Parts: sequence; C-alpha cells; structure tokens
Amino acid sequence: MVLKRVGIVGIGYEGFRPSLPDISTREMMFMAASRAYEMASVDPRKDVDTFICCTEDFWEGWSITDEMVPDQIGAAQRPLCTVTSDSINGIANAFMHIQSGLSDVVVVEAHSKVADVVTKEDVENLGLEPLYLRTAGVDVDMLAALEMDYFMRAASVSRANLDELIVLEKRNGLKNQRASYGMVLSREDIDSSESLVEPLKKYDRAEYAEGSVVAVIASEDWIKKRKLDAIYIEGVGWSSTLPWYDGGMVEKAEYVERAFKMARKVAGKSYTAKSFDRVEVDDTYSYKAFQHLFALGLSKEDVVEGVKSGQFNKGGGSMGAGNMIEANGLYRVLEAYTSLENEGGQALVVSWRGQPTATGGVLILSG
Amino acid sequence: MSVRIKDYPGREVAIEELKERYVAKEYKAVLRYAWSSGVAIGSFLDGLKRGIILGRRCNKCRRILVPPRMYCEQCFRKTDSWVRVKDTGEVKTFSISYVNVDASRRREPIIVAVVELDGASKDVGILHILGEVKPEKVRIGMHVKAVWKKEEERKGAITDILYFKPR
Ligand SMILES: [Zn+2]
Repeated sequence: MVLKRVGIVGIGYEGFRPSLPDISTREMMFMAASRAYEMASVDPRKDVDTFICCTEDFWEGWSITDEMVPDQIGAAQRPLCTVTSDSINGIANAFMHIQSGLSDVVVVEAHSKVADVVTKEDVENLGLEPLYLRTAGVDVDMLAALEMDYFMRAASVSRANLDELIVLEKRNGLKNQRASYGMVLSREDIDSSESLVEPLKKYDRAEYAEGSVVAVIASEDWIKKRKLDAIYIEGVGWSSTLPWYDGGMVEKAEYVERAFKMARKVAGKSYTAKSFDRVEVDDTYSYKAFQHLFALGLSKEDVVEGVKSGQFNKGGGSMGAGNMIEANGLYRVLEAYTSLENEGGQALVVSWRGQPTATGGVLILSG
Repeated sequence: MSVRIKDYPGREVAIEELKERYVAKEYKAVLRYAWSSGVAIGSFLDGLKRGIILGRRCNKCRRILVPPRMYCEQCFRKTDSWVRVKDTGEVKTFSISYVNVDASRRREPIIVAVVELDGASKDVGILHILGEVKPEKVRIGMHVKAVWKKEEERKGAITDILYFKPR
C-alpha cells in the first residue's frame, strides 16, 4: 500500500509580540486561523475533516482547555482533539490522520499567551520530578545551567562559541519583520549581562513571546484536485529519551538524533543535516541549539558557519522571535515555509519541548 | 462491592498516618494568571460597569451573541456590530445548588440559571444566579430582571449584576 503524500497548503499567524494585552487567546487564534484559511482557500466549516490544537492546561490557566478551543478556529461541532505537546507533535498527528485515511484536510493550531501567566516558574517547575528535584528547590533554569556546564565540557563548546551564535541570531532577528527580540548585540553585552544561574546568562535564554500559528495540512490528492501549491512533509519523527540528569546523553540531544532517524525512515531517504537549504532548530537556550545540531551529526564549526550563511535559523530562531512554548514548532515551520515558498529546496525543522523534558520532534519539508 | 465481594482485604492508609509512618513530601504550586479579556469580553465588562449589557451581531446568521464575540463560531467570520440588549429575560434552565464552589455544604441554596436576555438570539444566554425568589417557585420560562450593584460599587465584572429577580 502506497501511503498518501501530505502537504501544507496554508499557514497563518497572529502576534509574535512580547505581550498582546489587547486581544484574548481566542481572538488571537481566530485571526491566525482566518489568515491560514484564506491562504489555503478553505472554508473550515465545510472543507476541514479534523482539527488539532496544541495546548497545555497549565499554560492556559484553564482546566480541560480542549473544550474551549473549537469555536475560534472554525471547529464548532466538528471533530477536534488537543495534543499536549510541542506543535511538531501536532503536525505528526495530522500527518497520521491523513495517511491513515481518516482525513483529507487537517488543521493544526498552537499558541502562546504566556504573558497572561503571572507565575511562569511555577508552571515550569511542575514538570520537574516531584520528590528529589522540585522539593530540593531546583528550578528549570538551574537544571539548564547544570546541563549547560556539563554539555560545554563534554562537547568542548566554549563561551565564545555560544556568544557567536547569540550575536548572529539576534542580528538575524532584526531582519525578520515578525521577530520581536532582534537586536545588535556585542560579545561584551552578553558578558556584562545578568547571570541567571552560572554559567547561564540572560541572553542564553530566549525571552517569551505571544502568538498563534495555524497550518492547513492536506493529502496530495486533495491538493491536486484543488490545484493548490503546497510545501510537502517528506518525513516526521519524534522521540522522548532519558533526561541527562537521570543519566541520559548530554553531549548531543538523543531525542533529536532518534527523531531525525525516524523522519528519514518515513521519508525513505538518507539525508544528512547538510542536505538541507534551511534548518530551523530549537534555540530556546543557546547551548541547546548546539546540542540539537550535534545530534544531527554537525560540528561546532558547522553550527556557527550555518548560522552565518543563513542555513540555520535565518529568521533569528527563538533568540530573535521569542519562546512561544507549544507554538515553537509551528513557528519554525512558518519560517521554513516562507523560505521554501520563496526559494524552493528542502528544510529541516527541529523542535524541543523545553526544560525539563528530553522530548523533541523533527520535520522534513520540501518546496 | 458486589454480591460475592463484601469487603476489600487490607485497609486504607490515612493521610496523617502516611506523613508519620512513611516518607512524604509536600509541595504547593502557586499558579496565578492575569488573562487578557480581549476586545469582546473587555467591552462587555466595561458595559456592565456602565449598567448596560452588550452583544455582537453576525450579519450572516443574524444572531446576536451575548456575551459578545468578535467572531461567529457558526459562520466563521468576524461579527459585525455592537448591540445593546435589555437586562430582562427568560430563564432557560436552572439548578438549585446546595454546595459552594469549594464543595462545602450550604444551608440556603444558590439558584444558578441560564437567562436568555431580551434582544439576544434564541438559545443565547448568560449564566447567572437568581434572587428574591423561593427555589420551589422557579420555573423555566420565568421572566426575570437584573438587579445591579450601585454604580459606584461596580467594577466591570459579571458580579456587577447581583442576581436576576422575577418580574
Ligand atoms: Zn454567524
């Protein structure tokens, strides 16, 4: 049996600002969805078979949020499920909805309204092991600092390597009209910036941003019937592995290595990280970008060179556009989509669910 | 329990016993949020402060939505205009509750109702409480009117309406 090819026919967004106090979560989602549907020429009330929304109740501050998401994306009284994870997992679910024959058209939404969360640290800390980590007073930044220190020694990555990446990404962010945190930054600025937890500095961690991204995903048959252009999903993979503090790998992100392997298997091709014109990779912490790219088989020279040449995080990544929690994956897809639509080629998207997880997803896209 | 099983073997461990006899850790997350009310609900709450109830009209399905929304979920389009509806209406459904929000018991019940406001569309109603009425007298279809807080006490909250009373 030949499985159906799956493509993205429309993508829309709203926000990408540090804070959006003038609109509600629902109004933000409605605008992102409206733009995606216009681009894909679909009527969500008629043309969409299933809807997927990536939300986490603790970030929403609302129990059973899945009951509150259909109306604003056109899914009232239509089949909808939520995926409590990064949006690459949402896309993986959409991919399976289509390949299994359940749907021809699937909508995936993810968002961040994180400025509404007053006690962000408490939400993050709920992800920590409750007996020996959380009650010991460890928080996610401490965990990141410990991992960063361990990683830099294990993988021979220097402070200068990290600085170079941050400076380049922040500058890339300035060239990206939708990125809120782009800036001209020097190594001295990083050096003199506030230390969060040694060795983690303020600029090592992406700042939070708010926004919603909606993608319309469809089977190739449907796309051809409608005579639409699409960016095709060649492969998708995801993985959760043992976190480094429980004895997992630190010198590279094992979950990315496994997810990339799975995505290549789905694609049926032996890609390497260098096969791609564009790589959008999680950089919510500076050292994590290196750790994720090392998992794809790259060296630290490759990493800095890739950022410099525009192969990696050309739009500034999360350093430039901000950390949008569950929407991080879809934000990276949006960046890749824009590039493929204009320039063609192939793109790789690498996402991570954030501390304290060792969960990530990989997507292979072709224009 | 069933016909054959009259009791489970063993006994439950009480919380106090757990703390005394076993290793237990307590942790309390402080989860606080400040939700952006947005254009629709923000205007609705602002209206309540001024003693008026606002809805939004969808020109396509011709419904008037209260509380208002900037989009119509049936037509999936932006709603078109603001509409002021009356503070009178009809009880669509109700419940007589003897428990508080924290599940503690109440001696005097609270009557929770969905009120279809005059001027809003059929089957569009707001959730509120009824007052100045005995529980046994409440009926579906009963005509009610909002009892407002004094103007200087209103804060732009749904509780600016104290309750709905029979009219
Ligand atoms: Zn309508």
